Amino acid sequence: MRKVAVVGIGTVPWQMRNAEKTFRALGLQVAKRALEDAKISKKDIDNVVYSIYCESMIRQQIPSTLMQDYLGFQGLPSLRVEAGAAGEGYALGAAYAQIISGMSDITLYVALQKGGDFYDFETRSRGDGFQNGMFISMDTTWLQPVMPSVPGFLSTFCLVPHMEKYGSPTPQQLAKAAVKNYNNAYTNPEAQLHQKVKVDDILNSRIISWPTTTRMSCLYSDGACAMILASEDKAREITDKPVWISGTATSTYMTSRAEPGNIGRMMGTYLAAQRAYKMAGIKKPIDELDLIQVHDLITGTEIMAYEELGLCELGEGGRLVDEGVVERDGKVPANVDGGRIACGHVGGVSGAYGACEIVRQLKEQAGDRQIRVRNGRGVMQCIDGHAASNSVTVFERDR
Amino acid sequence: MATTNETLKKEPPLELEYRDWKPQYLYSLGELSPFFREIKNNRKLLASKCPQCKKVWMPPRGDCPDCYEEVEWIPISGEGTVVACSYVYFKGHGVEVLGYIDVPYVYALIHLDGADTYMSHGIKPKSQKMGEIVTGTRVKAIFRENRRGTIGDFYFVPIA
Repeated sequence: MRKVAVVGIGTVPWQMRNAEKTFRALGLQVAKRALEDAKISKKDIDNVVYSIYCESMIRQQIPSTLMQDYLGFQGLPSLRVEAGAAGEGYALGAAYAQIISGMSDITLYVALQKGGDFYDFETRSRGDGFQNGMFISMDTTWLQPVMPSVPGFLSTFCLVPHMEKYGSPTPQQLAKAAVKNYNNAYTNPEAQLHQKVKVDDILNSRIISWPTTTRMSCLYSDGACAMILASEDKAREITDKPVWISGTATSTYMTSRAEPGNIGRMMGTYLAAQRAYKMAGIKKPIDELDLIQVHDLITGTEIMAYEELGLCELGEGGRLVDEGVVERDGKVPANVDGGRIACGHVGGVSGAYGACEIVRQLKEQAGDRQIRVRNGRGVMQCIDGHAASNSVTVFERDR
Repeated sequence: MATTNETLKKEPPLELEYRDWKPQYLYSLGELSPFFREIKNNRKLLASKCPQCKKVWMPPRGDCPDCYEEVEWIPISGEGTVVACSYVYFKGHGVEVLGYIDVPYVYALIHLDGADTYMSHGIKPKSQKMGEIVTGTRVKAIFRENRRGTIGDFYFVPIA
């Protein structure tokens, strides 16, 4: 069977708002960097896949055709995939399948999203404009009229029932995971926040929806990144350091279809991980992975992801935080880039940035934040705001 | 001073206001119309029951996702039990129930009596103190005066 490798990445610093560039130019910027990283020409690309999450955020429907024109890929195939904030993983799976099938040899993958142009003229606030503008992302019939926010939804459907069942994670553990991500972001020059914080700063920040505070919740940013994906023979021609996609899977499991058996879980992440691990031949993730990039929309979902990804038993995720297993120098560091809490987040992009971080780390090109690579394997997981769309991808370098 | 390429690029980005770009809808509730009409006209809740597997879906659906059968509408009391909840201090935007109940309110998964699935909704606590509403608290639906046919037309309160 054919194989697929990442042979180039292109990233830009996360910003609360990037007014210097339209979404089109932002996409070109990361595409250019990925081509430079791969040291190939634009003419080598035979296919383009876009992860663009939300149209109202950029005031433009069907943006992928406009992107295709701006990037100058007249005549090439293009595909846009969206699945909320898990869309980057779903799009990556689609790009993988197109290369595996032989439809493409070298695909440019572009993840991009701006949201910072939203504005509320009454309150003169971008944040308010953003909240208003993105509201139809959630179920408009059954959730929007009664649901406070995405952190509130995830706290109620996932985190609180989990805490009640297992007594973990505790608010202290939730705060410690946030501190870890802030510390990691401190050494990432592309991170949006460079702040030193303590556990008390996290716990004492404003409660959004108990036990989740503002500093346990993700940022919102303008962001973009790109990857060059290639079939095995092409990858060998392009680089001597390919990073293979050895497993990729998704699972759409509607958390809001709440029934006794599924509250307090992220079942979709569990199912996607099982499928991806089977493809990659992973049996004991805690011993076989060097790092994970997981979806810290709130720190509760980060810690629950450790469990659903099989790093530990259900209810043991908080312990991994206490024991330092997920710290940068721990056995399986989590979100070494700073995660969505301190590095940056926008739907459709942050998971792709996490994938780029894994590629950097496995190639040992992460500078000050380089982790120790033992197994040569990392996992990227992302979810949408309902924890319904879930994606898990395994990356590995040559042994 | 002559305009050079460099000075052109140095200017800050030009920002354009879009104040009226707001889609409006006359939105059909379709197969869910019986449910929302009952709320609007009679302050009552209906649940949807699959005639084949007998499962009672709440929130309701027009069709059973397991059997693909059209559901039947059955009355339910609007009383239930909290299975998970979170005290909410952030108001968000456009949340209908927060147009008439204050924060902190409690966002909860509620197991309505007679249903097989849980519905999420807002509970108005009696006190501002965390701990009044917990897993196991019995609650009932209260309908507001101005109803238009959304689940924001009602909220829950603890049963004293």
